[in-house]
Amino acid sequence: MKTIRAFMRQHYPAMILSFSIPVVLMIVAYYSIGIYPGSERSILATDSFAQYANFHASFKNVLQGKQSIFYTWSGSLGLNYWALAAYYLNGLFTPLVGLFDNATMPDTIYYLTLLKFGASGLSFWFFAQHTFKLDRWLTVGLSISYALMSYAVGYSVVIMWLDTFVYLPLIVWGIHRLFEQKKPVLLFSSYLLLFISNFYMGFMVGVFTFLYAIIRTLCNWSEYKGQFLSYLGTSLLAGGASMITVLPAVIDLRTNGESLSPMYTFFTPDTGPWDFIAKNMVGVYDTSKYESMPFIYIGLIPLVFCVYYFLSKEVAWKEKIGYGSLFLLLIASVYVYPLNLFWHGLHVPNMFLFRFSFLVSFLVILLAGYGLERFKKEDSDRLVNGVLGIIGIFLLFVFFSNKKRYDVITMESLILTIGLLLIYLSIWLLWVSKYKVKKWIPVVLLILMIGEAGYNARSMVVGILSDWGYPSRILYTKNYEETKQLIEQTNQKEESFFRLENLDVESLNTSFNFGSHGVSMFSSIRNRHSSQYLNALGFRSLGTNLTIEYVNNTLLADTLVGMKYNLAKDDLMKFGYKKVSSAGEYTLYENEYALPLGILTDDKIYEPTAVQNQTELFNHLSGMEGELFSFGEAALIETENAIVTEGKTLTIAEEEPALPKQVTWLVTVPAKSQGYLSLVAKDMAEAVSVNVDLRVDGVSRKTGLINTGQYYNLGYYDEPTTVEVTAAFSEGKQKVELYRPDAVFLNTERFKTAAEKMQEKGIEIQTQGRTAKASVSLNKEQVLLTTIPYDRGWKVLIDGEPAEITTFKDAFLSVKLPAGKHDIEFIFLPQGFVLGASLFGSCILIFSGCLWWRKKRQSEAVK
Amino acid sequence: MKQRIIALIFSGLLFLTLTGCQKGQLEKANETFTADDSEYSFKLPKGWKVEKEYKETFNEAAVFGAEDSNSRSEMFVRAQPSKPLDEQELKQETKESLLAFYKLEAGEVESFDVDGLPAIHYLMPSVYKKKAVWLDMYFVTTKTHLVNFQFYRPRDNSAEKQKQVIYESVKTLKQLRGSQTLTSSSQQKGAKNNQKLENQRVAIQLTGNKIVGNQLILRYVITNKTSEDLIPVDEWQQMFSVTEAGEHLAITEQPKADDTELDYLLKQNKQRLPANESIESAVVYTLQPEGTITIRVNEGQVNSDEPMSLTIER
Repeated sequence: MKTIRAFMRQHYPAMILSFSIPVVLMIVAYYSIGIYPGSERSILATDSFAQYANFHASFKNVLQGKQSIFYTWSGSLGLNYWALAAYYLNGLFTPLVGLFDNATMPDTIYYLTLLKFGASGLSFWFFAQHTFKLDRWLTVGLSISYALMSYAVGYSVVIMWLDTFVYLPLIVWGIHRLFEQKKPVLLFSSYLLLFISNFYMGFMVGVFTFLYAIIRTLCNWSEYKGQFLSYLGTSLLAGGASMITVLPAVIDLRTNGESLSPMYTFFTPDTGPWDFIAKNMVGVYDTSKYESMPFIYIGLIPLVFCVYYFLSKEVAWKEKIGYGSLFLLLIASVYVYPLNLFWHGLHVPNMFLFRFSFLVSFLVILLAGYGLERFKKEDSDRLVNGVLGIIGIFLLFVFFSNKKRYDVITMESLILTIGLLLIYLSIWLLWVSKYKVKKWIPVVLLILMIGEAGYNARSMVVGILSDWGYPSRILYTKNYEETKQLIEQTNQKEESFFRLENLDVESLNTSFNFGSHGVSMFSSIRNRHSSQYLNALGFRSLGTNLTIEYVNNTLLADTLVGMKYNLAKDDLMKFGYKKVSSAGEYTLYENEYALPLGILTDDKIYEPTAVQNQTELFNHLSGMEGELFSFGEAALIETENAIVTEGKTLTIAEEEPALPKQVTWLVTVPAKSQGYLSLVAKDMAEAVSVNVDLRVDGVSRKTGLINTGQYYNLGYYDEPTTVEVTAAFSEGKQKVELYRPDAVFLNTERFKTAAEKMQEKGIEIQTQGRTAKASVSLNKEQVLLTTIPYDRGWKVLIDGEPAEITTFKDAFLSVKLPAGKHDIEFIFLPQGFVLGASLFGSCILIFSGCLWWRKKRQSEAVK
Repeated sequence: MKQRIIALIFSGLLFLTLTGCQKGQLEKANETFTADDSEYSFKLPKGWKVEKEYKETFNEAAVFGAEDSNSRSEMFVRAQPSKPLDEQELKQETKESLLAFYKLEAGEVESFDVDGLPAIHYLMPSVYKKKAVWLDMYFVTTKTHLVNFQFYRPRDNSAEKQKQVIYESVKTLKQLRGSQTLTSSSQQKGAKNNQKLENQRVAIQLTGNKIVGNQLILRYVITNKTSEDLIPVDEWQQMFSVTEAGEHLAITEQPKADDTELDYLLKQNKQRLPANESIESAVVYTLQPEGTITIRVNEGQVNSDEPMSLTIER
């Protein structure tokens, strides 16, 4: 303890600077684009808005005891929350959400982001302080460069990846401590924390540090060979202990049908030969969407001294070969597709490409540290050659590269990069000279490094702003309190489980935020089996089921999934829904025909060809037969900025580029019918990102063409009514081709009769945390079918005795019940949790035992 | 010494880079495109490549398209049949058509001539493929067409230079051959629909037919293209004749129906339809037990070379 105090007393200014300067630079960078606490513009760009803000809010709900840590009823009808947290939430910083209100989540994410940047700088400072023999100002400078490397800032919208940069230096420092001092605690704990925080990034860091440990052992074979086994043991125990979160998450991904991506090509598409050169220049942000270059910039001084490391005579050739090979592997991993895929766990990334490229940056700064400590005055020529070589390569790149791919390189970044390189070179030459000014040189260097890192960080956030856009805070906060108020009203009114969806929200995950129970979700952790069946029921969830959307489905689907309430800004125009309350712009509508969570049926639903779509399921459960829907003509009457061709398909091409193309149809909806317009893209791939803004009778709603259902609501009408419906198609390609749109009419009288028959068979189920309970009284054996998504983590008890769960279409939980009165209880515990928790306990015990044994042996040896 | 030579080389490279070495040049070969029966040629800026799938890639109405291989610039050409316009007419017509889509006050306008014919250039800040760009919209009037060049170029350091090269490129436009027929290009705007018939007064689209007992029910959507109110059934009768086994059928004024939807549609039939509005309506004909039913477009009602008719299966 005394040693720690002495260390702190000696180094606290450097520690404070390493933490605070990255934080201040990020505050300035964000402020320069109008982001600060309470600002109109929020930090919630892309995934941060759609996913992290809502998931962090749900974590606060967990901390407040409003939700189980194991299961959420919020998204996609219900989900394994333990697995979701392993991917999106786990980490030392996340519980801090407990200090803030969910309504101010944009600020909470802002503070957490800053905190993580600061923590990365501090952790690197600890690593550098204990690894390199450098001037203290230079160590601080390197820490700032590390914390604000392009990858960290450019991908900062994925806030949980920032945790990785806190642990990576600690892991490498831990390897050094293990090899040099036989102390494994730091390695064990930092590995464990990283794996628990984010197993996805943990995999990349795990592979990298394993290779690093091998190279380090091979380069110092006689010294370290004895410690390699110890490294392996420590790593495996840390990995084993992390299974408490990793195992359930991995099982969840595997059992929910997550398939590996095919390796369809040898070379990675959309890469260029100069990518590594271009992205080493200061302030170069291309895109973090598709066709991007890897984000590898970490600062010019690290770059110069990394090159110097390979030029220096002081460095042994085997080290150069060893770490050079690691560089080559990382560079090859960008260009060779199978390697690229390997780093991503054999799953092709959905934008934010080359997610392992921070390892290149880390290797650059690591070797730069070694290069810096070995630099001597006599080696000035090598440094000059190195810097001139780098400048030459930058110039060759600017001169000979294809401007189309590298159009993001501005004259500003070229001049700044070359100018700074020359300044740094001059400073270094001055530093090793005999002039007296040199005592101020490290401070000048630090100031320049701060300026460079700050400029680059600003360029990254400006890049994100133009690439993704930082959304307005109002999108999150406007109507927050009103929505919360209306949802709380429903919670107070209802005793049994019910579902609620908001038709006018900006994110698919808002149900997580408010703790309501919905259908929509956007998450990499998802139940693909249930999503696929829900897609068959009309809730659009295509491809790898990353998203599932509630909107643009029929009343039948609402009834089936127990959609008791809808929130909407404008008129809902749905049969059976009546206004029950309103707050601000929102109105709460209650559905008269929603089913409870369970319904009694027979075992014919298990037949493979039975109930393939919503009408069949509806008829089966209601015991009725015949069609509920009829079809009519949608006559195209008007176009605007559109060149339309009608045949078997309808092609709508834009007249003037980049402006919405608009089509108006006329539809006569029969009496007592709910009308829909069916819009289906002929080729889904061609219609990616096309939005449809559909306007009926003054009510307008904007949705995606391919990621939402096909039935666009035209409203319910008591009497025959002719309605004009206008669809404005925007985004996507200049032309969209649809199957000829049909008008679809739901006979609400038949629907009402069928829904009422089904309601008679409904079973109310009470849910609490990770359990769901119901009581039934049956005259004969029946099947209780629920709309709880099937997951192997569910167990069922009938009258306290375990019973067999029978899945319905691999999508929902159902159970066969014998005649008589029964209490049924469904209990969820993530599959693999018990084994993972056992491994967590036993690995920590084994590791502690090993430590104790080693200490005992050491003390015996001393005696 | 070695270092000095290296430094000199780098300085040379730096100088070349900073001063820029691109020259405003055009491709040597002419590119050609056709619009209706006219053929045109022009020279693309140097480094530009012709895009074969120009309709798919750029614009449905395009007759030519190309992209720069050294930048993200793209262009396409459209041509609209038109009589030759003088400078004032060209200015007036292009301004009117562009105002529907663009804010012209944000840009610049410049008149010039191409091969002695009036031309006009609109330069506007725009957004293309989600990026801020300069849009160069050129219109050149020829003997037969109004040719529209649309260039999208990034707002970067080379924007000014590219603007000049593009201007030079447009100046090379030449009409190789051309006739005065005003044909299909104008039809590409709006909707192409085989079931819709249009004349100066109305557009009528058959939306359904059904035989119930001895009654033929025809549903249609009618759009009033005039500036006055119209009665839908009158327009229907003016445009169509319905025959059965060659015998002309008359509209049944009070059909026997227990169908609220049909009642509603029949009511619409006789209500006044305001200008520029559309409505769905229906007509009912009483049928004989057998005979082929034909709906025929009355002569002179639509612009067609051949008589138009539709046979309905019983």
